[in-house]
Amino acid sequence: MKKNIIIVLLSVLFSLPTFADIVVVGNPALPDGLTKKEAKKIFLGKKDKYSQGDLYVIELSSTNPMKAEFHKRVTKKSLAQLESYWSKQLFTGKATPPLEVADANTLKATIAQHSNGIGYIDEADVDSSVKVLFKP
Amino acid sequence: MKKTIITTAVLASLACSAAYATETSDDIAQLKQQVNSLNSLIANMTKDSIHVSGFASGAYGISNNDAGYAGFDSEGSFHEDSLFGVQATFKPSKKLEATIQLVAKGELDWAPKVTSAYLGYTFDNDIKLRAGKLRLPLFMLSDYLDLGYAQPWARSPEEVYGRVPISSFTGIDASYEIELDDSYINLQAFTGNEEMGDESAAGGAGSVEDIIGLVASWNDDYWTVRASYTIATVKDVEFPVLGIDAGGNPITALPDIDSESGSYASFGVRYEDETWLVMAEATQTRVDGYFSDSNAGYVTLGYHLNQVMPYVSLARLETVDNEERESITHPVHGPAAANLTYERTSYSIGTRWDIQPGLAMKFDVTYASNFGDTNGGLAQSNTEDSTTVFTVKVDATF
Repeated sequence: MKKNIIIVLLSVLFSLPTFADIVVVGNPALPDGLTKKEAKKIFLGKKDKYSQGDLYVIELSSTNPMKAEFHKRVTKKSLAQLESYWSKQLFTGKATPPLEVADANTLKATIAQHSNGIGYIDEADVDSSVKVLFKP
Repeated sequence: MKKTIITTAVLASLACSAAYATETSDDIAQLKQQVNSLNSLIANMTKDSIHVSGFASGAYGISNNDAGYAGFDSEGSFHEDSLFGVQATFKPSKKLEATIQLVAKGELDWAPKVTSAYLGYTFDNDIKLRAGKLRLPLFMLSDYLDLGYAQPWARSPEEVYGRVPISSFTGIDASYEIELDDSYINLQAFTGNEEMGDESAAGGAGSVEDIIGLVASWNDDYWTVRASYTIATVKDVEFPVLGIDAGGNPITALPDIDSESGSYASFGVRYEDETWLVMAEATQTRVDGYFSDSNAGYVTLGYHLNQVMPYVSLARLETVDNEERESITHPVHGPAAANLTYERTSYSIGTRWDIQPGLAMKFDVTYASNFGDTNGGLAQSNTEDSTTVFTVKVDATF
């Protein structure tokens, strides 16, 4: 009985939401061939070979759990490390952090307005307004 | 009869729920439309040509005695490490930007000071030129020293950063980033000058001129290695008048300085991954004449445990040109110059707690000792041979 409870508890613990299907999406006008290394550079506001730095990057806000998962996979930074990184970039005048939106719908709508718009969403939210560029 | 009632009741409830269903789907359609129009409104608002942001720190520190480490005494203070900063960046085009940053510090009675105010232009070859008031990047953290949120500790190592008389300069800089396969090299060259109100040792006021410096750093996902070298000339430093001597001449704390040249060198390394943080920096300050030449450095080790990062830190500061001051025998200047000879080692243990992105709380205990026969570079009157400072701090960025 005790064992069962432990198993139940463990399965609850390990079934916490996982986002197996995050995809980097962009305006359909963007070219194919985005790599993980370039994606990392883009979402840290660095120069990249994929677009020569000419992208409109859209982030999710920290309240969206997708953000932590995406950065864990792509930039290898925790939300606190990411925030610290951007505050350093911003207050030393190196770069300004990207626009943040709350959810996938707003992100897609923003990408639709910018032919160089790029962001990341749950694969389930992909529709014809965006193009999948990379799956981390 | 009973049947009819039941049927009516059932029908009525069905009709009701049907009506409710229609109403709900109408509502949803309407809401969807509103969401869509809001979405495009937000999307259109993304003209990010103006960016206003800020940072703030609130700290309380108290020492076990009045040695004066980092400005704290046994009474405790909310002032010494508390500050509020605000920055506005205007980007009329991709290449042109104008930035102003103001910082109000508790230790300066919250009087706001302009720490940056510049125009920046990025050329087609990616060289960025800035002109105006800029942060003086003498050492590894100098560029963002006031930004507590980006520092692991409650206080940046006092042995290196507590003695820099100026943090900004007026002039120009040029910077360039070289993209390697999976890392970057950053180069920065700068030149300019700056006035010192009373920031020099013993309250001296003067100017720092002909500042010329170079910074080179390499960084990848985890590592930053940085080296910098700066030369400058300290000019026309005058000290507060303490009295008049028998001959009617003013007595100052230290002899006035006409012109002395100096240099600042730094080599720093930072490593941070998901688990460990290691930071180390060695610095060297050289100034001709009786002003202190010093060597200073620190090593910090931190360990990430989810949102908490405990750390330990060791720092050392010592002057290396003590004999230059021993020859000063003037009754007033002699003791004042002796205060410019010092040595100190500090040991810190603390923790950083990331409450949420943009907000961190820090707890720190720093013990300083090994003053030799000096005052440890602390309060001039200090006779204690060690001191301990306890600090609680909240750092935010927004």
